[in-house]
Amino acid sequence: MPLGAWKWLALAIVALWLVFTIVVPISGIALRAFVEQWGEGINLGDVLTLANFRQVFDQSDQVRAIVNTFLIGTIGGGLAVACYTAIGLAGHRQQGGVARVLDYLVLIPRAVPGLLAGLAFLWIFLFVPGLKELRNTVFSVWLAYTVVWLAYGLRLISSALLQIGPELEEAASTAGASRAQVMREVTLPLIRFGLLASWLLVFMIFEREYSTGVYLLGQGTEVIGSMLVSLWGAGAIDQVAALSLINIALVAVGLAAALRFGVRLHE
Amino acid sequence: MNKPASKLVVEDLHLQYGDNKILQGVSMTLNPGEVVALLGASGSGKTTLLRSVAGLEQPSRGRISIGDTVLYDGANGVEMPVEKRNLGLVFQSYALWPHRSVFDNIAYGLRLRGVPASEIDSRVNLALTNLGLGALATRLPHQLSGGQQQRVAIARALVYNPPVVLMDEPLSNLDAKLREEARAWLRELIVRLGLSALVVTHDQTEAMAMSDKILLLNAGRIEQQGTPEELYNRPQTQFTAEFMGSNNHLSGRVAQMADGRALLEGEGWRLWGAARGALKTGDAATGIIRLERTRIANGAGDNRLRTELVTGMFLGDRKENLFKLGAMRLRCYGTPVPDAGGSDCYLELPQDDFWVFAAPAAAAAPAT
Repeated sequence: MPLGAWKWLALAIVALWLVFTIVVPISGIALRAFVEQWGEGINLGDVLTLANFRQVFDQSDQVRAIVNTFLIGTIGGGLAVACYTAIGLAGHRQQGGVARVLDYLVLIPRAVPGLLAGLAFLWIFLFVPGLKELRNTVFSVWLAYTVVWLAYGLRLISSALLQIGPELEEAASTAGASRAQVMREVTLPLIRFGLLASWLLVFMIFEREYSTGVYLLGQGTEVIGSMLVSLWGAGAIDQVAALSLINIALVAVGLAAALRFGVRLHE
Repeated sequence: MNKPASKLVVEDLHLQYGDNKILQGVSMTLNPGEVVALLGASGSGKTTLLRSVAGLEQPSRGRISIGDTVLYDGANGVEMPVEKRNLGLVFQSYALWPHRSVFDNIAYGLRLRGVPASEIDSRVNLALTNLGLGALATRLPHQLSGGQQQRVAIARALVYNPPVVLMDEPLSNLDAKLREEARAWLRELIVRLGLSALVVTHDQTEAMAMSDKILLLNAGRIEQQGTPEELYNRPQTQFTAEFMGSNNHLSGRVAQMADGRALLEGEGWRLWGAARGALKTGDAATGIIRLERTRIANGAGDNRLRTELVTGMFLGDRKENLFKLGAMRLRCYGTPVPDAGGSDCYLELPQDDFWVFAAPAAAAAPAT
């Protein structure tokens, strides 16, 4: 749609929007991460420092938070997509009651606030035998994230599955392939690009998630998100800023790497 | 390719989605080495019938068997899964797997059957040769033309020697020019390999050209079945007559009946024709005659109409003329012979070729 001279105004609005929603907050965080303090009357050139980052890397729990966040996003994200795919395939092309009930059932965790879901998982890991031992491992955080984002993940998978023409699967069945063989040899190979894109999206969500992890926060289960909440509560603003910047960098590097290797978010 | 000689039998097959009855008691037989066409307009149930045989649709009643193998039996709750039926199916869209090469597309059915690799090689290569695809084995489907994709789809369905090959509109995705060549090629292939095939089509010419027997379906029921000649030359119903060819229609009333003949009368004309179905004097009726049986005559005579020439259309191999009689329009081929310098012509409608059908309450005329 040609806007004529109005396009400059439209451009200005878009630019302003980007400045206020992205440039200002991120550059603010970036700046805060590299200074000791800021405020009126302080010359920023005098307070420049790397001490904030040194502090972060001196604390073993914060280092663990960075490593855990990275692992949950990459490996955990991949495993979550694998789980979503398994559930998605189970309901794929199935008509009738069970598939529909499943469709609604997976929405429930999403309807519960992440904080409450985290609390629920804390109790599960406190009281359920067999899971108790895993309370202090990053597995507990991964499981909570995976369940909370189940509905979203399944939407990603089912939109990939919808792209496949049913006759491609029917052709395999007629040729003599069982349901499992059709899935393994036709359905999965055909949605592989959709699965990679889903992995990337889930990676980004898991990198940024914080609410679900708050109650699960403990020795061994630190993630950047919950760590930020806890550090803010303790008033450690320096480290909040440094850790936030590290978090942003993790997401950016992951995104760049994925796009570099040909993952496409839009087909 | 050797064929196990077994007959496909469908008995009283019913299928419905909710309250929507798609098939309402269809029975048919396909003998070994025979090609049967399922012909009908869209929504007639022809594709559903094909897919029911393949096992991709769930009938509610009836029986389907091939030789001694029962594929479906509603009364005994037998329903063999799709993958166990060992049938070859060619989809309208071809449905080639885009992530596999031509070779792997064709070889898949053999791999699933645990055929040793060396034998797979030779059998796929034989199929490629049979279908004129020799040099394309390593290509991916999107690198092929529509005609080549169709051949791969057929090769994929034939390679494991199914007792019956099912084809859903195999030619409809090709452009018009290619379609006629492919039709002849497909008929030759079927005859050469001695295949038993069930072919769905909406095109009566295609059905007649390719098959030994035609089943004309109308709203989930078989309207008429028989050889192409029977359906074309001896239609039992007006629907069949209309579906199978290009026709002239004359509506009128039966003025007289005499040993299987009916005298159809309209405004300013009367013609004798062969009575079809139950007719009696005074009934409203429709006379139907194929365009190519309508003849241009050089003067008045028996069963002739005096009509006014409206226009002529040059079709390349022949000329089609449009005539007017009151509000009716008639078409026929040939060179018109105007009467005494005017624009009036005489058309002869031979009695045996002019079929008089009782006008149905609601004539379901197909768009032909």
